[in-house]
Amino acid sequence: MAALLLAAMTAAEVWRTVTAPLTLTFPADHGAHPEHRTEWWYVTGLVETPVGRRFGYQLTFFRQGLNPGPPPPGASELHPRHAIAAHLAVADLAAGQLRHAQRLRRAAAGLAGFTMGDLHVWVEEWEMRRHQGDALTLLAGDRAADVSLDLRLVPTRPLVWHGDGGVSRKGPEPGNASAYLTWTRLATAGTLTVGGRTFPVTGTSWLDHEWGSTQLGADVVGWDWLGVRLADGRDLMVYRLRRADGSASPHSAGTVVHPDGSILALGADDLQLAPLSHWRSPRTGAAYPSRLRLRIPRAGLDVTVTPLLLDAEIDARPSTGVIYWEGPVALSGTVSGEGYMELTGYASSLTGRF
Amino acid sequence: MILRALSLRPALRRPLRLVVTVAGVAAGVAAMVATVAASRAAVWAMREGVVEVAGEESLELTAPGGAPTALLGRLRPLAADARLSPVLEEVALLPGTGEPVKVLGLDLLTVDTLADTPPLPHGTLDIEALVGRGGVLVPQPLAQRLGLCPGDELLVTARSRPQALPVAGVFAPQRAASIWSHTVVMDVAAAQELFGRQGYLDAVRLTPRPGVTMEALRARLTSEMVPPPVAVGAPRPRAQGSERLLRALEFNLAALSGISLLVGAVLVAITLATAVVQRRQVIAVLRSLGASPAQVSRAVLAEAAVMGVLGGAVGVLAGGVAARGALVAVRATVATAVQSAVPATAIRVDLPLAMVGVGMGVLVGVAAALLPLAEARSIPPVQGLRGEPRVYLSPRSRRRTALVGLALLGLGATLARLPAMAELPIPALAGSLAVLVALLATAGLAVDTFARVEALPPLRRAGVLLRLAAAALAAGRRRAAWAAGAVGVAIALAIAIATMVHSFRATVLAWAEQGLRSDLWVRPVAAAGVQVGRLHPEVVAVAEELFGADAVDPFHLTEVRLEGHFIPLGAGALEVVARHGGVPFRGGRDGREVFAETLRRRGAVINEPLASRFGLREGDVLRVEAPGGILERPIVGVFYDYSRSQGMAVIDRADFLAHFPDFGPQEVAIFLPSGTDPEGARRRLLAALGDRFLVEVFLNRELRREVLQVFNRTFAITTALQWVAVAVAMVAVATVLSALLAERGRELGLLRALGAGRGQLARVVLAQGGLLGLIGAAGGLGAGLAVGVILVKVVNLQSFAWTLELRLPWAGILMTGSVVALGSLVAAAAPAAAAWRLAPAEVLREE
Amino acid sequence: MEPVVALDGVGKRYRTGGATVTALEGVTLRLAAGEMVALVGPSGCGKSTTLNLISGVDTPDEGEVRVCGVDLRRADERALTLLRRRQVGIVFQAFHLVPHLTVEENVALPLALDGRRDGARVAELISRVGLAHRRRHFPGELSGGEQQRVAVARALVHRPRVVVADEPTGNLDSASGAAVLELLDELRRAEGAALVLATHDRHLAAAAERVLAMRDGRLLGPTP
Repeated sequence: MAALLLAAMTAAEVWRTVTAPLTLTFPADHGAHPEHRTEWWYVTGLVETPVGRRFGYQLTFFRQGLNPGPPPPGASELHPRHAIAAHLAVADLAAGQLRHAQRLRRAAAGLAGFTMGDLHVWVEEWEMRRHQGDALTLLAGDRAADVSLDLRLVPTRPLVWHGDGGVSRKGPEPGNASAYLTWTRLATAGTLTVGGRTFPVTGTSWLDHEWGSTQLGADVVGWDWLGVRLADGRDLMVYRLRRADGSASPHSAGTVVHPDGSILALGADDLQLAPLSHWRSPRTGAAYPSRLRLRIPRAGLDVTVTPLLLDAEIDARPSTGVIYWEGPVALSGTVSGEGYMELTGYASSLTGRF
Repeated sequence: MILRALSLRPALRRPLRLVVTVAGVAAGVAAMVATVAASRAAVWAMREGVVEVAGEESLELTAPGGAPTALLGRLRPLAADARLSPVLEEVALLPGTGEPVKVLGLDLLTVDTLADTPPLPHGTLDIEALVGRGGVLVPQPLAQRLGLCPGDELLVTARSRPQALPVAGVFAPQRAASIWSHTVVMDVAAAQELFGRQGYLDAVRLTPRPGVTMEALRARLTSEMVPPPVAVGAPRPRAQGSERLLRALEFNLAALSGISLLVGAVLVAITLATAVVQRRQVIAVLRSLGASPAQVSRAVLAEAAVMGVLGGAVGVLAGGVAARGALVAVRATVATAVQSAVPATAIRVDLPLAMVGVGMGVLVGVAAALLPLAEARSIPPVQGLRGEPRVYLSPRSRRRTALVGLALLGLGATLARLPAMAELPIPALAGSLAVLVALLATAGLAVDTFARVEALPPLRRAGVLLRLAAAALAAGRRRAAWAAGAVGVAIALAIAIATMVHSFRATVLAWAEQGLRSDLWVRPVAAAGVQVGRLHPEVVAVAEELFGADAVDPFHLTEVRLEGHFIPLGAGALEVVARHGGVPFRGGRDGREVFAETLRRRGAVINEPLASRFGLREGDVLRVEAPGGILERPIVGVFYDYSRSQGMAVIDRADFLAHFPDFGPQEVAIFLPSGTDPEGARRRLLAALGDRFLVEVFLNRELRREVLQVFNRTFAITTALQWVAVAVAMVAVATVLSALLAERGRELGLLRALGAGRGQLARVVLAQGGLLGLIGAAGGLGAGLAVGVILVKVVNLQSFAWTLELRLPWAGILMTGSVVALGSLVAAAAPAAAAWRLAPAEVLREE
Repeated sequence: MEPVVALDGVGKRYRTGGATVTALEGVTLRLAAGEMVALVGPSGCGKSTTLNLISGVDTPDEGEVRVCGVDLRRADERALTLLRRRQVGIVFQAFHLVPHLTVEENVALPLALDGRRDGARVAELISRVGLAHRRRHFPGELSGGEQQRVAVARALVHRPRVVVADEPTGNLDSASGAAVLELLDELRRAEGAALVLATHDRHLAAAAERVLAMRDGRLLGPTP
């Protein structure tokens, strides 16, 4: 799940919507689905240096369709049909600091683009690419933020199809859904450069690949998303879609992935997520839940979610137009675990954006 | 006390003289300041405009005819080190006035562009209107003028098609004189589509990211990223466009400023020198009472300095205002180069210029005062008191003066024959100066000669009055000499400028007469004299359908690189032109024959400026870098071209379109079958184009009139200078004569007492003024024609590579002559009136 | 006692076009302090040239001119200027007042040129020439006689040792001419200055202690 993009530029009806049953072929469906309006490849992970210095990282590529029809006659090849945005954030847990950067380009003239037969998406020099044996390479960096990464990821668990055979409902309308696939555990190795120093790192990452055209219901103002690996070998993804009054939308959902690859789909009724305290951003004034209590009785879970870095707010207004919180978290309670949490719609409502 | 006796008290008691003197200095300084300020505004607009838009710290990749869009992708490996921005620069025209507006196409769908482009609004833009609907960001001054708000539509014509562009936002240029005030910004893709430039960019801008130096960035550019003919450079050189053009233009303006300066200096000198002469007697009294020469000099020079400061200050202020007028003339010259208007707000009379202006007033003033002062303080006081006897030059000094004059003339002739220095006609201008100095140097000899003619038999019969007049000149020979010299220089300047303008005009008219043969001429609706914008290719199709393809000659223009310099490459339907001919070629060759040969040999014709700048001639091979690689064409002919000082090559249109995309022609010429009514043809064409296109269709005679108008506008400053020079000549005659006659006032009174009638007195006075004017006019005419020949035959050829025919400006000469005669009359009137008022009895008693 | 003015064998020539005109030839003349000498003779006889040499506005071509101890042939421009400024007073036939200065300022001019100021002296001389009521008037507002009285005051204001007067009454009617001359004589006596007067009027010359006749640039010696 993710924060998203540019204002809608054309009516949603002309874009294809995601409906069950979903038939996918790989590696083609790791690639882009340009007939859908919105798509993202969202990598989060926790890595450490040989001496144990820990970093969280996030690298996301967004594809936003701007114009669904064929190009009009005489259109410039620069005429924007898709925009590619990307966010890079590295949480330096030792320094308690988040470095982030962003890119945005129209998918044209080779400066930004995507492929359909396989996963390859890039904007300027940043790129994410799938190789033989589902190995992924990530490359991104920014001089102003003084951060870069060069990582190789290999899945150690099979691909998870969330929801109803990969169709994740987000709203009441039939089209309010996205195709949602996840590699919950990817063995990660490579280098991370932070503040001018390059560290060899290893760790574990998480990749969400999601696409659709109109996902959120009209009443949803934001969401809280969590993707964590539990110490007992299970993996957990939950999202709570928040309504204006603070209550959870009935389309909130989640997935428990067992070590053998079998999954347990969770509905809104299975989830109880309540903030325990808040952190207020000094820059935007937005108040984000800083500790949360998550109870999933069906999975025997009652845990407290604690951010490893309080200030993980990302101002992505120049590229995707939103402000959100995205950072590494630790779980404690009935079982421990760690992963990434995303909190959106706290700085302003997301209604109408998705 | 001396200062009070000489200057302060007279100034207070007779303020008019003070006002006239200060005004004279001010006029001179103003002429200089106005020209300099206007030229600098134009050059500034050209140079800074691009830099301001591109940012100081960036590199640009450009290619002749435009860089292909795909270049962006090749540069992707650089993205970590630089922000990449495609740039398209075009000109749209406002439908009502034809005023050009720069259209800047940028990638508005990135994080970086707005950050790199300071005046554009940060934060959320209406991306949907900007990127989805081809919307524009409009500068606040333009929005205010047109009454536009976001959501309204900006009406423009692009490639002659009327377009309504949604206003997506209004931005505020950071400076008043910003190029941004005349620039609308839109997404690069929409701009390409609007102007039919799909697939091409004018530049790719590389802005180094933090921590990357320009050198490091340059070093990272590989030959793969910059395939020929793409070139890398800083925006500044590109801003200079064809740097030769800019230099020529700058020099043109600087030379104009130089002429203003010269005219101004002569005016200042005459005014102040006359002020000293007028007080010759007071100076003599002071000297006899024991004033030392130094005391007198100090007072006179202090006065000159104060006048200089006052006049300079007033002149600087007036010059700032006059520059706006001068700019109108400059604007037409540079509009093509700048591809947008030169804002009047670009005129800045800054401190250095103001100081130069005031300094010029003081320096020239002091120098001018020194001249007569040297005479006033060197002669024994007794002569100053007495009035002088007639003094004639000794044969030896006559010979010496004549030799000096001849040597100076020889120097001038030699300098005029020297080749240009650094492509600028510096020796020729120095030669002109030598001729003027020769005039000043020999003025004494001339006065001496004229004064002697009283002894000649014919003059002896002319009567005592004329002899009296000649004797008076002989008596005041030194003063009369520099007065005649100054008058001569002023007249010479007026005549030289008149000769140049007249020759230029006659040549251009003859050229237009011969060269402009088409019956109809189609171009986008643009402000008069501004040749910007293109026509949509469909306009050509409509014209061909109406009149047949063999009657239509579309003219395309693009840029190619020749020996590293960008030059315009034009293309026309040579088959059509070959049937009608007209264009005058060097060596008197028939245009029809040249064009037919060009077609046959797939060659090129080039204009005279290109030929002389690059040393090309008929038979050489023209090698230019074009988008597809090197283009080699044999040069078949060299044509005269007074419409541009830039070099230009022309090839056949079919040849052109095989190498360059059809972005649409600049203009279309249509040749009608004989007997066709051009007015009717124009109506048919306009009807066929309907309201889809906004074009202007000129008839042949209208086009010629337009050529003339453009010419007049371009030479407005020059013509104004000519009038200033004439005015200077008049003022010179008037002030010097009144001074000389005032000294002789008693003599006139005596004549009156002896029974001379008013008419007789007037004749004496006129004879004196006439003699002085005659000497100045004779010398000025000669020197003026000589300088005029140098300007026409050498300076123009060297700085613009235009061969001009020398035509004598009879009207200008006549005009200058009559104005100087009028000046003499006016000058003579005041002392004559004073003489009448003098009671004969008192005069006799004094004697 | 050394004479204030001594001319010895003085000659002066002017060149006009090609011709040379001899203005003075072999003029020898001595003038004691406080003495008044009149030069008489027709126009062009050399009277004015002699006066110009004495007043230091001109220099001799031959012979020696000493005025107040200054050898004019050897004196530089600076010495000549100082001589005129401090030792000599001049009264011109044509008055030659500075038109834009008041009576008071015209009289004060010689002092001002020397960087001096003496309001009392100026006021005294103006009132002695009888123009106290007109001291703020400009020359153009005065009659010819009044103008020449101003010139007399100006010639004496700096207490010169020699006063030269070239036809001082030439532009005046006889009554005012006589009055001006009387005034000049009276004042210079009071101040103890020598006076050289050039005139063609023998009646005026009669007032002088010595009358010297001139003709064709030569001094003819004392006349009866």
